[in-house]
Amino acid sequence: MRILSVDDDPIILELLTEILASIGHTEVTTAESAAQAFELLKADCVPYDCFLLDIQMPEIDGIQLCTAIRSMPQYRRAPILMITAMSDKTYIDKAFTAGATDYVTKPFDMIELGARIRVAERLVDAQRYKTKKLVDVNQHKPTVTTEKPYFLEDKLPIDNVDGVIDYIALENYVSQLSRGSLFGSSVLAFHISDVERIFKGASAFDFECLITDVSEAITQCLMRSQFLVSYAGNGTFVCVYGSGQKHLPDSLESELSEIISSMELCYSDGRPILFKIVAGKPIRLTFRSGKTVIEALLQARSTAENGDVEFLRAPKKASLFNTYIQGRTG
Amino acid sequence: MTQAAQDILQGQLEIIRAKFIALLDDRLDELEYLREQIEQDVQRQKALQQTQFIAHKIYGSAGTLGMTEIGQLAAKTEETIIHYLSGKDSCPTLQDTKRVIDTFLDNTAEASSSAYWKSVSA
Repeated sequence: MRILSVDDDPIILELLTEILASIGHTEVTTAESAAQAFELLKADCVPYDCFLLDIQMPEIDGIQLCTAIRSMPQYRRAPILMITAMSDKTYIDKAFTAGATDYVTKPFDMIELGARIRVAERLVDAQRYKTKKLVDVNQHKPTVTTEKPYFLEDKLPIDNVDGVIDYIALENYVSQLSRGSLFGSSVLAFHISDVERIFKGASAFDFECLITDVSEAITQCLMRSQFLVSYAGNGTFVCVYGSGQKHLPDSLESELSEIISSMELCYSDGRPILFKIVAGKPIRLTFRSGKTVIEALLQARSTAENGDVEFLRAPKKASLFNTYIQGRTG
Repeated sequence: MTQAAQDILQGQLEIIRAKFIALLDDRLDELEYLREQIEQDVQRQKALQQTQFIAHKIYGSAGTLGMTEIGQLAAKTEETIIHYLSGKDSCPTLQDTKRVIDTFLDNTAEASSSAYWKSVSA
């Protein structure tokens, strides 16, 4: 795995190089500033697989560098691990919003650093596999355009929507934050009902547009609070939202319906996409950490997905949030 | 990690530790200069920010290299300066902030010199 480490402290760069070498990663390039990193990125013909970026650097900091790397098409999915000695949650939130996949803290715990690198390595392998699959599908392009290089359950990445991050990054974010940092935060899921039908009838492009548009609508609604949104697969979105905000405003539900309605989503052939959005129950993350916080994400998803089932069985008791949406994409 | 890899890593960490101690000497010179600047009203804010920045760097590497005490003092210094500069009601006074910086400087100078002599005699 080709790794680029960026830190303005040469001691940290040497430490990283040696620690990474000790766990079998010898292809490590270092840069002492964001400017030097840009030079390397321009000059190197073989792309890097993974990045380690210090958050606090003079001039261009690690968060700005992360945003810049993510804007390069070849690095949209590359794991970016932020390095921080800062316990301030605001920096960590900003880093994830900028597209970070995970973070490691200074001083380094070698076992922990090794574990985070192994997670990144698995992501790189999974990405290589997906790319290969995509190439295979394109090479044997079927006449039926609804065939997709992924499954409904896949946690599709969503690009270019502020505040929307990969699901694995969301898991890393909540599982690494301390109990105190999560104080007052909650998790809430939204589910596209009847998503199996839509998935079967949509082309890959149509389905990806739908997921992106819905995520954009969710971020517009959550704009007033601190939040991170992720697509969890199976037509479900998970949002972790702001500290101190006990309840989302009631108007959020109608606001989201209105935004989605105004998008007039439809398939490429012009048929409107008919669907409802179901909101699950908000689950507070306070006093949770590690595994139990991951369970909270699953629980939130389950309330949204099961809520949908309840609605289909008993439409009169449905949440106000269940709204028919018609329209077109693309 | 295999035992051989662990041994190699330990050897490399010793080399980096020696470099860190040498660098710490330069950083101490800079910190002492900044400490003087903190006494001057006009220079204070900038000098505190730079002190915070250097303390932040020391905190990052000292702990990994087994110099826990220096790392903790650096972290406390960084945190105190951040709170002081925030200007919030609960922030420490200038006197308290200077006291924390002085403790950090004294202990770091002592630890640095003892670490240096240890590395020379080793």
